[in-house]
Amino acid sequence: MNRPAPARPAKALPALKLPAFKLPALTRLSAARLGLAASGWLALAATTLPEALMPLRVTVAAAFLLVCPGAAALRLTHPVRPGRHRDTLEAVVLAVAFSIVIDTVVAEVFFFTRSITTLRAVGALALLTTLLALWPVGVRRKRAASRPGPADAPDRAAETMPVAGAGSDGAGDRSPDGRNAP
Amino acid sequence: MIGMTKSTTTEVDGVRTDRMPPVETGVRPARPSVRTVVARAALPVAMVLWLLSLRRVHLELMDDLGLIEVLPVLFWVALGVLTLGFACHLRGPRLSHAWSAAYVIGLIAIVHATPSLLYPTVRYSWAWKHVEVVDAMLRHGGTVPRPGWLDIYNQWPGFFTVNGLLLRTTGLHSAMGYAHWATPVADVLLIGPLLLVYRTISRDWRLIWGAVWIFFSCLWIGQDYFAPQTFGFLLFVTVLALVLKQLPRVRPPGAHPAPQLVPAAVSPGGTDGGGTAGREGWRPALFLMVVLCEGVLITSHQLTPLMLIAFLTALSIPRRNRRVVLPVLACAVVMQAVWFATVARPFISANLRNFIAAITSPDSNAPTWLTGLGSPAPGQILLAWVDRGLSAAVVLLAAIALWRRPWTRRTPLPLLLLAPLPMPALNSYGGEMIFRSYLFALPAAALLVAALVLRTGPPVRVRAVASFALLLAFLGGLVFGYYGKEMMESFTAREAAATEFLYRTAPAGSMIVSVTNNVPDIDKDYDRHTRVVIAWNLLANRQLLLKNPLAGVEDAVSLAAPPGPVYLILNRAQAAECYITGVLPADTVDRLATAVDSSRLFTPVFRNSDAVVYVLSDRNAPEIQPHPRPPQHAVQQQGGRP
Repeated sequence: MNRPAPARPAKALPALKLPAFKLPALTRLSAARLGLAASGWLALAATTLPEALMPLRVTVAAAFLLVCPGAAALRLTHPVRPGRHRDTLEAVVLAVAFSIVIDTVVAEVFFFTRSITTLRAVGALALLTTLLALWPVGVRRKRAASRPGPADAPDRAAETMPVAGAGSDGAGDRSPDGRNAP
Repeated sequence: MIGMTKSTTTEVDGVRTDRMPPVETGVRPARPSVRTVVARAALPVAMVLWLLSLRRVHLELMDDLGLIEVLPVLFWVALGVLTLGFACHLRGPRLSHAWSAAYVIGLIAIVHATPSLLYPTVRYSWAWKHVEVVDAMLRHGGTVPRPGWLDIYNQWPGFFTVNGLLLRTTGLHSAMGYAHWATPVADVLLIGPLLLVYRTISRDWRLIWGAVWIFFSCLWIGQDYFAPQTFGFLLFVTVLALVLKQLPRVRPPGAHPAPQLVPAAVSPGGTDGGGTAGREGWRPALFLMVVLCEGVLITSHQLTPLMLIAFLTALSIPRRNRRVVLPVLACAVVMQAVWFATVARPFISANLRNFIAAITSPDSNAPTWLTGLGSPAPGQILLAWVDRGLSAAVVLLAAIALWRRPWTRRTPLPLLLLAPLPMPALNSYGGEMIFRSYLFALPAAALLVAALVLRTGPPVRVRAVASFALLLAFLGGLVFGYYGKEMMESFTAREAAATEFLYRTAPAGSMIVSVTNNVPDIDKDYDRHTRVVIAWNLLANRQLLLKNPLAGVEDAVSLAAPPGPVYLILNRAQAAECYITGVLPADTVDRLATAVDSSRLFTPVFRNSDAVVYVLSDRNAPEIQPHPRPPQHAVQQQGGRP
């Protein structure tokens, strides 16, 4: 049995192939989206846990503060176009960064009004997260697409416009190695 | 894990490989090469060696080279093995994101988590201070009244308020617990924004992961702890990534980039027919979020938003970028001006003259030991040469990369490298501006250095050995800058016990005196006590302290003229700071302790092997009564690095 000849070292480094991975859909009224909307209220409920359940409170509250407000905001800042996947790396990084930013803005408002309480701060964040999670994104585009005639031309054009390397707007329009996502 | 492209590849032992051919063809997969085996084995081996090396580290033996002197050989072997593994990993046939991330996290663990694992208390006196600011703001539910010299934090409260929110929500009593781990956590969090930045410039993931490694290998200036600047830098890199992604891409007409390095910004698939293409402006929601990020930066730290403005200004120089950059820049400038004119006005108006003076005195970046009354420790001279040499080497290699890798000149990298360079001429920032500028230039510099030194192609072995040697050299430089001052940056549990005793017994309104401010948790309840740091006092007071230690302390007390009780705290880390930096002669603290011990004015109320606390027993002694002196507030501004 002949062993295959060892491959010659390639001159150029091979392009990195990235694994397929799909984040929970946040465009439809999915369970993930509803969970995101409810996460703040869950964190608020966790603040009432007794001292014995402190680790659970810390976990739930920290997870909410570090991820959920930003993940909800991401729906608006980086909406996923139909047929495209969300860019996982960008989504994770920005969810955390945006969460920290939103948390800080809310905390500063209470700081300058000297009115911070756990209920107010977490309640405000929970309300904001719910609004952002349930905010209808893409409704106008869907309506425009459902109408016949030239009115939907710009949207269709936008969706078929080449995006590779063009600083695409939506996260996931382009995979990290530059190819269009399927 | 990262990205969503469908792939026909599979993973075997964490290595992404093509699918194996069917068995009936009789073709067997090739055996993994030595390089692949090393790349897979080095990481776990290095981690085990590292953990084993930390079992017996005698911190008390640290001298003027800090941790470098006390870490065992096994630690350095672990670092070398990890670097070798990463070098092999980068040059392997397939690059796995999981392994790349694991290697970078391994590097962060070994370099940046080692102090957290070794030290019984939080590293850096400034981290303790920031924890206390969070506590004070929570206690008052907002602005801290009578903050003394820590008033600056009332005017840039973002970082502290969000930590207060975290404490309120989680029910934790203090940020001290997680502040201990802030350095490795902040560094790990920084990986994501760095990847986003690099991804807008290159599609070559070897280059990108290599740049991330180089970034953390050269991050020696120690601005990654529980501090507003750490928080600000994280947001800064995120904003930069968002802006860079929106920039239109340029394809040089008729030219294709080198096959090894396929920068996204100049890739053949980037645009149609050369010229520029890209998004026309911002999506409103995204723009609003970017502005919010800027707002949080502006309310959280003094320097970072100014750096952001400098970077945005640089990025707006090419005409094609202006549509994207100018709206963001305009918002940043307006918000910064509004903040300076309103909330931060007290600080700005008090220091405006200093700011203007700094612009006209470029020599004001002199390090502390050039202006101190003592001499720095001998090892610190070597250390200063090494860390400055590392910084210079990184900048030099980045400049060479701009020359030798033409594609880099068609990316925003030159602008990102040059943007922070004018800042040291504008303000000294307590002598640290030049190092902060290095920090802000480092993301671009790291990618440029990676583009220069991580190139593949013949001669393969020479390139591989040279890049491995260079990565090792970077780490060698890093440990000098990062570990070299640990004698003064770390605190023992006994020192912390002294401060705890002090604040348990000192009534509100007490005055706490120390030689330097290098005391753990010394700013606890800072709104209830007055602080006197003799090293920050007028030259006459410091000179008197050297001539007659007891008279120097009495003079310092009389200068402040407090109505309440007076405590003097001396500890090991204050002596270490004098020895390491030369801010005062190395024996100042010991001489003072000897003098105070024999004095009738002070009585020791707490003592252990690392610290002693005295209380002023005769509050009416004539030596400490107030007498007319010039104001001392001028030197109180030397506080250090907020």
